[in-house]
Amino acid sequence: MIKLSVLLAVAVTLAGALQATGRLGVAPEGEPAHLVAPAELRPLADKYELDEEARQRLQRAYEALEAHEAKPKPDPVETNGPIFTDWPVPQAALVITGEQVGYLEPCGCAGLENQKGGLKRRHSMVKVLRDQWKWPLVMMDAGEQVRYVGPQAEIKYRYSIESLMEIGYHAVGFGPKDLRTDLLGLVINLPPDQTPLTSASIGVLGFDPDFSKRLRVVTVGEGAQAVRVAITHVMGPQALAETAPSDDLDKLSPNEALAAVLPEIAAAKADQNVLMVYGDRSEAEAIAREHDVFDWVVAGRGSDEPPSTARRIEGSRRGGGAMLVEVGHKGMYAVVVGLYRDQAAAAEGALKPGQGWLARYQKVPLDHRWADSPEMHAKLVAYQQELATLRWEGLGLKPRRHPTNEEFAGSAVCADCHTAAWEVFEKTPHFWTTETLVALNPARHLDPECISCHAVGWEPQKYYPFASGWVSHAATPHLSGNGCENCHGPAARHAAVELGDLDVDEAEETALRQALHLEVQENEGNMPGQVLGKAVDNCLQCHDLDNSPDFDFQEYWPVVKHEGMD
Amino acid sequence: MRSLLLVVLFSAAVGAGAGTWLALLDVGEVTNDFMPSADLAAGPVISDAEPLAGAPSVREAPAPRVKVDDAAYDFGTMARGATETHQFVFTNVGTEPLRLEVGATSCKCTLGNVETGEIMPGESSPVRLEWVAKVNPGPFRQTATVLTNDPRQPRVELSVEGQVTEVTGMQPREFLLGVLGSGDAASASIYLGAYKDEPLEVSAQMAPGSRNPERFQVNVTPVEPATAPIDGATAVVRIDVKAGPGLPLGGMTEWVEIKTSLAKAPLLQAPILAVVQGDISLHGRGWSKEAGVLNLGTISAAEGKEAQLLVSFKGEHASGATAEVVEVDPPWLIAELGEPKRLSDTKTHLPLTIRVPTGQKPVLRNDTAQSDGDARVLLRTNHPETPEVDVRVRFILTQ
Repeated sequence: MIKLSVLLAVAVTLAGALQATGRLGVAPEGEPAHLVAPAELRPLADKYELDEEARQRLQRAYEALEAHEAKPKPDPVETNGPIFTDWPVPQAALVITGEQVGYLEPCGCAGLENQKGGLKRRHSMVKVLRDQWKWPLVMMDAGEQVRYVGPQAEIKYRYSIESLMEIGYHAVGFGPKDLRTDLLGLVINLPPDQTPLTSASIGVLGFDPDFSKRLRVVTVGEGAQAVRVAITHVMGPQALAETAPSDDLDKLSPNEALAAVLPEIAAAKADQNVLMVYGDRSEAEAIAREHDVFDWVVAGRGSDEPPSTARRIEGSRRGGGAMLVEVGHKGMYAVVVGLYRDQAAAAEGALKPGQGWLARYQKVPLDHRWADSPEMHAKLVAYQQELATLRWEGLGLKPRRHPTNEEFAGSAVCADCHTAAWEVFEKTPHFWTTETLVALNPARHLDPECISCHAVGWEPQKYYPFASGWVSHAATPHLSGNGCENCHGPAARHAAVELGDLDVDEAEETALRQALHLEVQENEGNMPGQVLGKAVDNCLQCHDLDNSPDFDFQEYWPVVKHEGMD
Repeated sequence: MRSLLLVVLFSAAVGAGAGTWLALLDVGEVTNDFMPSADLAAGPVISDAEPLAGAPSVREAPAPRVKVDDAAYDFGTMARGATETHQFVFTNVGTEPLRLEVGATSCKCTLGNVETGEIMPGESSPVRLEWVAKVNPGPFRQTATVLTNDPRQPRVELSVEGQVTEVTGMQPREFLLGVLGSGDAASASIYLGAYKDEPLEVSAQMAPGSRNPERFQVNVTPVEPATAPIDGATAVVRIDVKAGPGLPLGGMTEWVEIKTSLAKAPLLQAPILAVVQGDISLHGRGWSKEAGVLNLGTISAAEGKEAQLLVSFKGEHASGATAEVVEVDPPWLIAELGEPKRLSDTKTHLPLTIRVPTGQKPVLRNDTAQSDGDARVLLRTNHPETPEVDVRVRFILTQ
């Protein structure tokens, strides 16, 4: 039985003491740099064919990034709280994650120190717990590594699974978006004895055991201290309905899936049974009540962040009642459950399945208290290299017509007439956003999910280029930066008319000007009580909650403010 | 170093013991958190930790003590964009004045009534949390931390949770055609609903800029709300997309433009997602069906590289399908076909291994001007309509 009681924090904590010494999990070789070395700027400029103006912007971008790096960072413990307060070494610790939904790393646009998540930090957390603290870890992920579909999502899914294998995961389930990738192409390249893919409701080619397992039984510790944990996964009814038709995949409802795997679970006689459900809390609870053989039930689809504690699932009885764990979104947190043998309960007499265990729970913020793992950094470099090799076409990105049917001219053309606005623009980071991506380690300007907000002429939220939009420094140098037309709209025809290259009647000339006009309304902004107008809505396409969580239009606007035709 | 370790061990044991003892002493067994029994061993051995000063003497000293009525509140269902507030009641059950200040919030929560002065022993004060549901539909949980001068609970994490619903119900949010053959037709539907008796008129068509719009049919049909998968809607339409046959091979994302009479959603877009395969398709790590190329990346000549692919035959000619390697470029590139695996009458898989052997000279094989072009492996098959499969291979072989 899992006994529960309130755990009061004590002021002195082991974790807190360790955090005072610096970032956790720093590898002997140190951490990978966020920026390229200064000496690499010129070779990079040559490699990506930056013209002289772009090289100057690259230098400015680099200086701005360096200045940011040099700033003092907020204390993550103060911000997000201490962790593992007075935990003794557990006999086993369940590390539970899920819903990474594409976030191999936090975006970083708002400063990595202000964002949580990423495989680099997750790996460091595991290395600290497993390698430094010697905790016996059982690691599982409830699925949904990616968020979108298409070639980039397929590549990302593959890197995610390979990264989880390198981190040491024992079991990884599926979400519906995972199944929209070429799963068959992935699984044939994973060694059968190493693949962590686990699901009782999703199989590949007739639940071929070389590709995935219905059940994993993981043993950690040795001798009398050994702990056996059985892990399975099902997809909730709603997620199952979201999966794409495919004759390579086998899909079973949760009830069908568990009916097939329950005999295996019973035969395993593990100390603790874990069910990962790719579904929300209510689905997970319903399945747990229906199949009352689990000690821990993971809801893989859920809220933004995990709750502060696990919750007992009413109506379940095994081991005193199954406990529900939620994992949050975007890999910002890992949940760690420490398991301890209850010696007193064991002494009292015969224990029923699931009984005889005490537990602690910790939601672990993957903030910058954790170092960047060099191994995961290397994966990220390889991922970016693969995107670069395929280029836009290989990533299935074909330019689409802009909704206005107009084409882009580039900000420098606007500057011919709108001189005052240009003088503001060229002093803001918007001017060098493309080169900001070039200066990163690794460069991200060949990543559609990054460039879509860092150059002119892409759909910012759907990551595809518009016709006449940014292609590369070599092909479209005039479209660098987050330029005028990303807010005002494509202006090639307007510019041609104004510069006398195209004759139109007065009505069309006026209409072209009017179409690009954008006016900030009174009290326009994105905070409560402010007017959500067209201008701020444009900003929010890139300054969204993921990439710019502190964005406040009324605070940011004065920095880029420009008015009137000049 | 050894003395440091001993201090850490001692401190860990004392710290853990103190926390455990206090918990048992003060509250006994309840049902919302965990702790191990009191006789557990010391905490983890952390060799690089700072020495600890010892366990705090929080039991004896007069101190404020914070108690919150319920630190987690469920807002239930919220419409997207709606604002909700909740008041958490903080009570000082200690013996010294309690002070509160705002800590970190996870998102767009706004905390009010904090830092309004001291809460005297025995007194209570409400803390107001406001949240605007400007997030995607689905479950949410937002947290806000209140810092206190209670030495045993310096941080109180408040959380609100619930479910955000769309102003306009659309279920599912995409037309999911899945994997289909190039000669196949497929269809998918989404449901669009209105709430609170708002009139619903809808038209839908392929979005401007769609490729092959003639391959798609889009229809809108009113349906009975009770039969539609949108809870609470008072009017519902079903939008059907029929696609194919004759869609181009590869991954496909097209968009349907939906115009509605709804005040808050006059124009919506929903993607059509599909992967269109021919009778013969390739699968494997690094295979890009969009580019039709196997991307092996940068390879060290000393290590070489190997890729496992599957050649998948589907359709009426799949049974008994075979292939052979008839050409490789460069000649040292190794391509080997395994035994065919017949999965059904309409599906056969043929393993294909492509290997860049060790010891070759550095070379650039891709589509850049400086290279010799993509490497390639040519397969001959017995499929009557696709007698050859050209597998292009892209890599950079370095020293």
